Amino acid sequence: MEMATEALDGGVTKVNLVGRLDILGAQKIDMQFAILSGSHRKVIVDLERVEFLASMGIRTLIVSAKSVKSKGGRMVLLRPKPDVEKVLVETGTDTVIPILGDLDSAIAAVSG
Amino acid sequence: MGTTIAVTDEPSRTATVPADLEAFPRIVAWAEEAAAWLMLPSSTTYAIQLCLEEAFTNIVRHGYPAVDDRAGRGRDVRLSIEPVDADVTLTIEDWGIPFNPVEFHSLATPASIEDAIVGGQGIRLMRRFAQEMRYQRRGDCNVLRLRFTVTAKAGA
Repeated sequence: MEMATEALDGGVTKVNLVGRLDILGAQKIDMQFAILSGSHRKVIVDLERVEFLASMGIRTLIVSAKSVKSKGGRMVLLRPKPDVEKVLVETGTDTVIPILGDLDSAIAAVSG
Repeated sequence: MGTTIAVTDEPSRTATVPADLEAFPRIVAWAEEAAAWLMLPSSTTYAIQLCLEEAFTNIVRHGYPAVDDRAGRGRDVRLSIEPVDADVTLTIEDWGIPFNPVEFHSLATPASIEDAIVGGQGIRLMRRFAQEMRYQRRGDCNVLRLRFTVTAKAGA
């Protein structure tokens, strides 16, 4: 699991995740993600290149979203693959962190 | 003399690993090889890998408390996968404390939706992604059988 951040216009931060967000992937990015979510208010997590997501990865996403929200910010998920999206929907994660299908909508959602 | 044409070597359909996160990459590789050999569609492979991860991490975290090393059996987890008619069955066995995930219901009332999602999702995901989940305590062994229906996605 690799994690990189990209600064977009308007103070929006895009987090690009690549690989498997399984228990080991989650462990690898947890600390980096916690630091990022504690200091950014408009966060888009791009899941397009995440091949796999399991419950420990969901935990990472939810904990980060809570942290962003607690500071009055917003976090959204962008373009998950169908199997990954099914995991997000079956666990109700999409009710807490909105899923967007394109970057413009994601930017609008975190900026609104 | 007869000629044997081996198309591919059959990977091992069983694996025994220690109940330790260090073994996790090995079980991911094992499941990938088995799924490729069985020519499973990607959605079935995903479901198997997901259930395997949730079951395995549960055993690692709760199955073998430090005070009870179940002397003689080590801290093993035995995995096997086999095609049954049009389905695939994944069997996960461990010799840890008795635990029946089929009847498990979280007792704690979560304080928020976020807390509800963070806690206890593994078993919920197994219920949703496997077509059938059966548990049996056989002697000192937990036997969990998960059945997956092999269905290719439309247009795949």
